[in-house]
Amino acid sequence: MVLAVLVCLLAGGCWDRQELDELALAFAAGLDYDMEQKQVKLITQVIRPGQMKSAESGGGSTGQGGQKASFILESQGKTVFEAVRKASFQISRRVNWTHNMVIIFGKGAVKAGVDKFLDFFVRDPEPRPHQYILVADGDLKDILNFKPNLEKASAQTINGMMNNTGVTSEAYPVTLQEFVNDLMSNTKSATAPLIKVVGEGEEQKLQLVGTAVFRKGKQIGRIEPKETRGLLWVIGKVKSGIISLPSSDGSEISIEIVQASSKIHPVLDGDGMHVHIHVKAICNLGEQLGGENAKPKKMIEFQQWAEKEIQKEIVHTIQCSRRMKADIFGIGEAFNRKYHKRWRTMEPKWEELYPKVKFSVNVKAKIRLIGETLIPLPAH
Amino acid sequence: MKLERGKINGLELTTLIAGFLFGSAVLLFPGQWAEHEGWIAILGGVAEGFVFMLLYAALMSRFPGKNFVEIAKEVYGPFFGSLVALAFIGYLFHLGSLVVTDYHDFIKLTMLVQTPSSMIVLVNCLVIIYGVKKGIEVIARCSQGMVTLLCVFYLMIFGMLSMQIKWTNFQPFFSLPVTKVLWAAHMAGSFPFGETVAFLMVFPTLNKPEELLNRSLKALFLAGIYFFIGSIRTIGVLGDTARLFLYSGFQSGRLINIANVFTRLEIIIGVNFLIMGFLKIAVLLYGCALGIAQLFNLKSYSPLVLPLGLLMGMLGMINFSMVSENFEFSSLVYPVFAFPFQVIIPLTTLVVALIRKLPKKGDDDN
Repeated sequence: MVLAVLVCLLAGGCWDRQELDELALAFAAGLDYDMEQKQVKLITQVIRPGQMKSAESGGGSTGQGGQKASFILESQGKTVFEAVRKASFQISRRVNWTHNMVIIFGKGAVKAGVDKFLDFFVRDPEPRPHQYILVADGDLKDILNFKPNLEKASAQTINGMMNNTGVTSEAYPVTLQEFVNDLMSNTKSATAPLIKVVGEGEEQKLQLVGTAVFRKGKQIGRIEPKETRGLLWVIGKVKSGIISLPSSDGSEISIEIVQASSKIHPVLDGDGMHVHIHVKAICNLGEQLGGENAKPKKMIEFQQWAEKEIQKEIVHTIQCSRRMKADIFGIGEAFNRKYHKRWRTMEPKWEELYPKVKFSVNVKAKIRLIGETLIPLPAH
Repeated sequence: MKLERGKINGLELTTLIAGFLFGSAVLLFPGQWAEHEGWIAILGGVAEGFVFMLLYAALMSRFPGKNFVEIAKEVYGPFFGSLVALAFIGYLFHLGSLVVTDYHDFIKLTMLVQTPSSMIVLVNCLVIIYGVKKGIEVIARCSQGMVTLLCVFYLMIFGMLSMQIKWTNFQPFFSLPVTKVLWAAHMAGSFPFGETVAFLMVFPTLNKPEELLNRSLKALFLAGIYFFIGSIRTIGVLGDTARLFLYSGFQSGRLINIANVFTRLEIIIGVNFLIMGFLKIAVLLYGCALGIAQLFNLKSYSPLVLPLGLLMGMLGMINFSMVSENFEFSSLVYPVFAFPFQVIIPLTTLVVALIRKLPKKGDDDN
């Protein structure tokens, strides 16, 4: 009797044991949709834990024994979960989603509306809210099959790229949590970075080629990397990046962005909707090819050039968003916060109202440091 | 003859009440109904809790050294008093089983997916039964360490998430219908603040009865501040998506990410819940066992603890056939269902006692 109770109590903890050598860890999920057959197509990138050890055997995408560190599983189903289980059905282990890093949508999925495919990733306890959301520009399978140079699996590469977008701020990494938040908004357009495999053979690499813009879960257009930075300026998410421009005396200069912030002020008055965008950027002088010494007067000139350049980027992005009638900046939510009562009448027709919003962009740039040299290297 | 000879001091009472309040509310964020105005609902709930506590303290100070079952017997007479006491004990028992349900649902949903329900409930209940058998002193002393631990954990989580809080998530202020926010405030008032009615069984063990009100209000204040912090964290971090999740507090913990090193720390919130749930169920089970023992004039309540605890666990497993039923019950039915037990019964008892001019002088030795 005592023994039976003891066994029950002590062995109870073993019901949900998960041993590393009994798991198949999914690192990336590719989701696509077949309109004709109404089937969700799931491509799961699964890693071989044994091959993920640090690369004594030469690195690259193959580990010990020459086996690839990751492989992909293709499965179909009416729903995502069905496809997920069918993926597990193809191999000897159950696919575990707790370490999934990226979710990539294919062409069919963004056409059918991505909101249909995310419920599983939010509802199930295994997937994490920190996964990155991307959209494939081109073939989904190529991206997941891509053999990276530095990492073991393409999912790790994409994850690293997403963590590293701050260097140019020309892509806007979006996590599942943020993406779902945007999708739940009635007026804001969700965005997700576009990824593509470029080049041939050995020269192949993954590249972020802009940002996909959604409305109600469906992709309605895209903006280019430079325009993505315009978006990031407005929402205050620029981390770093380079603005290169010719100065007045013909020399090229690069200005490194160090810190940026923004404020959006919506104003609703008799003659319509105005939005004042204030952007503050703190920069360093990063490079100067010839030209004059970096005197304060010169720096002020550079600042003005940088301000103009930033303003150009922002205005260009605003034009793009107007063309798509897509409120990618969350202007509607800003109106809601300030003019809640009047917003309720505006909300249903926001799509038509948005292009009529008058923007005024105000940029303040400040160049603080000039690097370790006092004068530019004399050029001949 | 006293069934409970244990004595707890003021600090232990404070932490015990605070722990009881944290209970399942650490996980099931009480103001969730009011979406981005949950923090207002919490403040409303705390205010309601203060009023409740004044009522309970008034009742206690009128009958020093007596718990609710004894008071009811004295105020309503042996027969009706027993009926009222039985209803009250029934409420405690049912409430305990609801906490067991929350406990079980949470563990089953997020961690031990394949482990059978009975196993989860049994293991938890046995620990609680052991605690209650050892008496209220033991539980109260445990609560000191546990609540301190929770306070540290809670602030830690808040600190780690503070960078992710978006203050715009709280705007526009006062945009929801007033009735909705008021209902959410009453929900927070009935769960968890009004549930302190269970302490009508514990208060008499306080060694210095004159400290009762002071100590209990401190506990309410502490819990109120923590729920407020919790609501700021949950709403600020999750924004509109907070209404997506069953355990939105837990979900906000999932977003902790400091330099890709400190991640997956939501389990701390889970552990908080498990510890506080222990305190809550233990107090309820204690109240039940003691109440029944007094009702039937038993010599000790300790033989009742094991069967009552197991029954509570079993009821916890069959309370609801699905989680969504639980959610609907707690948001729509419970605030009304609990009202008679939390307010009407103590209030009527107090009023009747006032009218009958109880306790009679020279009659307060028992």
